[in-house]
Amino acid sequence: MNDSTDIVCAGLGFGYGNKQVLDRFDAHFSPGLTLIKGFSGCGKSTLLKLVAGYLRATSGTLTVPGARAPDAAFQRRHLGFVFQQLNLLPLATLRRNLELIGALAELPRNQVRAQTEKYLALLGLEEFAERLPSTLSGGQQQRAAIARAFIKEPTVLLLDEPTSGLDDLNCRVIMKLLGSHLPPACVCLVATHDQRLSALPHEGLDFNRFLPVERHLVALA
Amino acid sequence: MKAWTLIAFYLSKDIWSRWLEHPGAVFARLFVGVLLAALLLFAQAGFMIAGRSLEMKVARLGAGTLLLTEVAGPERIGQPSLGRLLAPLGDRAQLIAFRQLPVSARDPLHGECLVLAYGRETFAALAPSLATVPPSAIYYVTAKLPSGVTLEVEIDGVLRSVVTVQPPTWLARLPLFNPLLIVPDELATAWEGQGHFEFCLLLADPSRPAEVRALAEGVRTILAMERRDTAQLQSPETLLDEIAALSLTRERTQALAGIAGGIVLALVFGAIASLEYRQNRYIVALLRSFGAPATLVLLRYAVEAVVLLALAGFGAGLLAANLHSYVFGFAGFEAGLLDRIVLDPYAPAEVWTQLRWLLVGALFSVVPISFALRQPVGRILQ
Repeated sequence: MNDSTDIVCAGLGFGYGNKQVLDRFDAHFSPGLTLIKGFSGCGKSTLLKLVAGYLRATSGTLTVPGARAPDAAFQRRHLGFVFQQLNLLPLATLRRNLELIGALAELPRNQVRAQTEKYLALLGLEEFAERLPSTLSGGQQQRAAIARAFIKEPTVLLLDEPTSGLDDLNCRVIMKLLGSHLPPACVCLVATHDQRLSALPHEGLDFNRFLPVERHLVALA
Repeated sequence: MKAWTLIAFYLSKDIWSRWLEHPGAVFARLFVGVLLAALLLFAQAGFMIAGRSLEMKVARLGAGTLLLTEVAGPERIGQPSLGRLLAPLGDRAQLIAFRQLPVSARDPLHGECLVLAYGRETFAALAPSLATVPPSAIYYVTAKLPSGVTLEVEIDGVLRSVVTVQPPTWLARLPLFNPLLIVPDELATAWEGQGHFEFCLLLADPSRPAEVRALAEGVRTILAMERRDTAQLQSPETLLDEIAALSLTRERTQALAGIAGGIVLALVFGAIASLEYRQNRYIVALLRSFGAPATLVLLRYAVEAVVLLALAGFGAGLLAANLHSYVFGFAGFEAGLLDRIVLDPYAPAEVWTQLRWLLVGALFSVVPISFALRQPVGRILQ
């Protein structure tokens, strides 16, 4: 068990086949919001997946709060993750999607219920609670995915492009949640291109400095 | 616990949903399952009926029967009979010993009779037949007359009263075709002067071939020790060896058929499950991303395969039970062997014996999924 509240990456390396995405990557993330910016393909999502334990680093060490390593127990109890693609369980209602995560985190039943109601309300999803994801709009589904990541009030919250493709209204709802309801001592990493999120008080990490700029894109732009 | 229940519930729902979405995949597995299970059940039933048929033949052939014969001339008078020599083996097999005497006997109605003398060692074998008829010095063994009838036969030129008895079942093992008159040794002394032809039956349990072999060895030892080289032993050892070889072949064939069925099932179920997994891997990865253990997900596929197999097994059981008499009747088995009250090849224990291989196959069908589950979640979810 790691008592630190920080995420520490030391000499982290990872690649897809022959393509090295991260090479001896060092970083230290403290509680609070950190926006990770960079070109597509620069490794932002990969970093989030490594921190979540969804990918295994080929070298280096990774320390996460509340666990020795980002394993299944860490994912159940301490991690909230929102993927780029919509990722709700299609056969479960919105409420059940949230409750399942609370139950997996071993929260007491009353707390699961209360947290579910709280985040459904904060994200304006109460009236859709008993509906299946397929009957919701893209914005509603994205808000639901974020509510699900928040329900256990995790110590590590990782959001991969949480507002991409969303209108301003939806974006403001999500920003409000990130700005004022981030759990205490929670390290929240947001990989994003969305400049609107820059309005939130945050730390920043420019990922482009780790990679050479794709010259052909510069020429095309 | 609650979390696992919720996940299990979700996975059950997922199974049901996929069944509704892709009924073809379900029916394909059910069809293959029913077909294989029915084939294996019929094969097992065939083996069992064939085995039972063999057992009946074995019983008729006397696979537990040792027959000793000896022709004794006048020089043997005074020496112990074979029956007396073999009496110590009486606790390992039922001993029946008769000496056929060279005396003429005639039943006015049925013609020539054989006169057999029996000793103390044969009392036990005769007792059940003799206990039901009036006591007599001489009994007339015949199936042509009812038991307990007193009549007169001519023995050595003298008319004597005899009482009829039904032939005991073991008598069928002896090559005797004439009506028989049986007398105790004590009353036969007057007819022993010219020797006799003695035969002994040792009736052992044919289902215990090792004991039958040991008994035959015991008989040979006694004959050797007593120097009775004129005695001929007909032992069922060769027959027992053949039966053992047949049984072994049957068991091996049965096991091979089961294993082959299991392999085919594993391949078919595994291929379909792998295809379904490819369609479903996003959801599976999502569940794993929440921290749900891969074993739970694997269990979902195993449970699905087992449920489908159970349904297929049930269907095959019904099919086999209903077509049993037609199939095996058509195959030429005796009607008596097809009576499922006497021999039920579809009793739960028998069905389990055969279908356990399919169960193993069904469980093996999730092996490809277990390999697929080793792929990191981060490579599936975007």
